[in-house]
Amino acid sequence: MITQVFSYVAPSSVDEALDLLKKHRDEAKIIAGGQSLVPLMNLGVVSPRVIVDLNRIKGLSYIREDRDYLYIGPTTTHTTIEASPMLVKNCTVLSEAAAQIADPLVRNRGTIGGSVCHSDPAADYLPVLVALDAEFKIASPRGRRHVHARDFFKGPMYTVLGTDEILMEVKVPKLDVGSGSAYIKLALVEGGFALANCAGILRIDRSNVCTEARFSIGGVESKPMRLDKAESALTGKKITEAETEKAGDIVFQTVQKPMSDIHAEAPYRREMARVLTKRVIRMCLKRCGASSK
Amino acid sequence: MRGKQQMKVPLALRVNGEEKKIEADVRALLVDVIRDDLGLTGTHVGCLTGNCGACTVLLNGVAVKSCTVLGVQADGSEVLTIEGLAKDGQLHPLQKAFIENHGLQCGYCTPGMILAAHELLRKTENPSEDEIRKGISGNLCRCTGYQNITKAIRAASRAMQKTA
Repeated sequence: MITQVFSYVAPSSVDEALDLLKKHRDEAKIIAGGQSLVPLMNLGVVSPRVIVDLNRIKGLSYIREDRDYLYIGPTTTHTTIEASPMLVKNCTVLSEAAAQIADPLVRNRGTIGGSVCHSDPAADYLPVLVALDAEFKIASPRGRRHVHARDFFKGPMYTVLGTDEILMEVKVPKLDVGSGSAYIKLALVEGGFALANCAGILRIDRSNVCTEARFSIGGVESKPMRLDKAESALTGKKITEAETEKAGDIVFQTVQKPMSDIHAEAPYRREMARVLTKRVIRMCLKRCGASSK
Repeated sequence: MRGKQQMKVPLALRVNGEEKKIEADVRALLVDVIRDDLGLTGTHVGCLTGNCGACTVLLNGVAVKSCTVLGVQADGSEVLTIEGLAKDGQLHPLQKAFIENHGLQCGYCTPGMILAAHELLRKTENPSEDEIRKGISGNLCRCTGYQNITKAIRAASRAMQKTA
């Protein structure tokens, strides 16, 4: 049971929610699925004075598309994202990541907005969104702003969001039919927190040359890493097994501050960054119909 | 804590088909409301961190871990607990299958396990062994080693397909 008293408000509009956040500042906490917040409150780790529930605001759970992009509302659950035909078809890697979050019961409540704003370094969506160059729309009493995924995450449970800001939408690109994408998580148990995870997207042309490479590693450093150097090394080349090994080596060198905790020590995490990068490259190649030789 | 803060809130829920109106503590989790305010102790508390699944119930038809839901969030909602599965004294096929296949020992995880299985069978009509294991991956059992649990779920799935 939660011991710290709080007041609970369920506004019916975003403006109402923003007013509450403006009024209560860092004493207020937003709740969506509650799959991170409520356990933290149960443990006494966080004790917000005011809880602002987004669930009674209509129109925050959706998946829409236009010609080139998909737009996901913040309170859209992982279950919905996992099963969405629109996402499975156009941005498989995001659905693939959603399917690996925790377990079906947690996925029924947990939301993409909550996961992104909570910014757990081990979260499944984070490297996927960074690799996809996703864009986040943020609302505040001052208006709306857009932040790119690679600029959004600052550290463990720490983002660019201010105390009076609400994540309103996640925008991801539709992936070309010819591209291959993959998400791999290394965890001790099914659905467990990632010790390391990796998301990648590869595009190969007809002569098997890589025209686009986008990769991100999570769970290793305290925020998702975009693997620019490895991407440059792969782009414009035929991705053989030797190139894959080289990319892995680059990632190994790129990791600066791997985390150490009871589940995995820093050297292991650094090595896993290399291993997962290679596995994701191979999977992406397979999925775009090419193969590394 | 300074001053007097409001601690009780009115909640209206439909629980196992019955309308309930209560005054709950604002801090109460849904599992607290179910167990303490409504006296339905079939739903269990195992971890309070959303890991073990002993608190699994159906909230508006969808299986959730009730220790991760604030009671106030469930205002106006429909809740199904393990007590609500049997109809007119007839056990649900899942309940029958768990008994017949020795799918429990101490029984602590069982209500949550059955409701998680209910969710699985709602979404997947004829789940494979792998799908069953993934479906209950949010429910921990310390007694059985899961083999009879998956056996029971398979048996229930077959029984439910026959009567469908």
